[in-house]
Amino acid sequence: MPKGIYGKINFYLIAFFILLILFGINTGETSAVWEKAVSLCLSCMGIG
Amino acid sequence: MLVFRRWIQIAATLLSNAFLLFPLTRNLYQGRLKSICVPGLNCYSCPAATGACPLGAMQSLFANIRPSIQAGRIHIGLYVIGFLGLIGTLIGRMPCGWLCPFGFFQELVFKIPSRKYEIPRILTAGKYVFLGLFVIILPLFVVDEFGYGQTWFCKYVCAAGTLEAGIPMSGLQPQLRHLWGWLFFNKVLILLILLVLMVFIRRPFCRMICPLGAIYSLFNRLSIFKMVYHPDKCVHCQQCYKNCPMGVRFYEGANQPDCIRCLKCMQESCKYGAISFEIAGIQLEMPRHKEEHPKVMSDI
Amino acid sequence: MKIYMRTALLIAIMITLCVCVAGLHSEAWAETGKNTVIPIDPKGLEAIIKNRDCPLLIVAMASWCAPCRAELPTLQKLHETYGAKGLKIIGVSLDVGGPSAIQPLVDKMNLTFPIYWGGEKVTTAFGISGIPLIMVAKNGKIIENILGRRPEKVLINKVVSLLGECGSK
Repeated sequence: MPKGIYGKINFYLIAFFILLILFGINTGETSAVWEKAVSLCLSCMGIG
Repeated sequence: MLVFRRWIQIAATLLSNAFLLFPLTRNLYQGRLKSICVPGLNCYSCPAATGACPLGAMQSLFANIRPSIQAGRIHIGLYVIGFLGLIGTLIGRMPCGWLCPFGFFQELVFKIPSRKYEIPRILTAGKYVFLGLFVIILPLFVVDEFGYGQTWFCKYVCAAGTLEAGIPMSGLQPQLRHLWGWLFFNKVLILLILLVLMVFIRRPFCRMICPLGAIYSLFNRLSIFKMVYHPDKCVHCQQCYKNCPMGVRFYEGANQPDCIRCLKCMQESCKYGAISFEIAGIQLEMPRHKEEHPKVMSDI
Repeated sequence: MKIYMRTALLIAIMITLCVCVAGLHSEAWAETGKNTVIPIDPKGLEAIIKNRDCPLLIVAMASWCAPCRAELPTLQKLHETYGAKGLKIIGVSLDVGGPSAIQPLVDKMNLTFPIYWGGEKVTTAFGISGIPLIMVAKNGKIIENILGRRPEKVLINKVVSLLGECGSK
């Protein structure tokens, strides 16, 4: 079992995705998500 | 363990939908928690929802990429991609089996007694089509004259949105009924077809349609939590397949894309210890039925 | 091998994103038009409502909301037709990104009625749960909330019925 390879891929992927999250938070994507989440998305619900 | 999973599913459903004051306010929850994504498919337009649906958030970020950048904001969906990727790398498709309210709902509907059917395997590829087309390509590239795309999956397909938001919100705010059009009836039709399918087929939405499950499934082989198959102990009795809520044939390989790591096969079905799991390469064995390799007819 | 396929797919998704971003046109959308979006706080908005007796339509919207964008030309028409007859229309953008989010739309659609930027303060202060939302105000009070995009005819009928006394004066 090439466990070493799996382990390394996991490590890099986790670091990569955490970086993405931090970058997203830093550019204010959380507010962009919030503004859509707090108002009824009428077109999403198939209304309007 | 099975009961334990049910408790987790109930807790996750309640936590994702903890704003129970909605019948009084007739409005959805608007607090800060809504900027955080939940791991399962749970519409953020649901009156009780306390978090954001990762799929809805991702589509809306993709759909607004051009205008955001033109206004000087680099909102390209990294927050959501990172969130889903992190969960995927850690536990793969486990949220589907343990945390997703819509998956839980489908398991409950499947309990309605009836003849059960299996779907052709090719249909399970459908979720990747929905992911690629309705969540990524169409929202990114089909834009109007102002550069805005649409949330295609939410708008045209998502049955969870119809069930959790479209129908209850129309009840809470009656004036929404004036806005019902072919789009809404189309979505209700999709929901009704799926509801019928849910009685006869195991988790039809998760296996054929769900783009969120499709994203997590890509990580099943990479994740830190992994299922392990011991072919030497397997007798191919197919009990795991018969009991699997996703119709996975575990004996054809661990960590298949449709495996949601509910551990039902390990705990309940396999009496031969052929199924276990590992975390970061460390094998953990705790099957409930610990028996020796069974005596087969020729041994007796 | 599958592990590489999957990693490759992930990378492909990321590259698609990057290409998409890189391929964006960076041209400025419009030079500052005459109708500049001005920030407003909930108190300012309440003052506008209080100080007006004739019909006032406050349109809560956001740049990212498709039905809102679709409704804006109708509102512009209403403004042009009934503005002189006593109807006032104001737009309030709820974009969290500031006035710059809605400004390009205002310029491109040549909207001439006043557009304010209210942001999340207005969203929470007015408890706005869905957009587009037309808050109909008269005699200093909000008398009706119209949620969702409505056909032009419905809005015209509404406005005509509201104008009543104001229109004749």
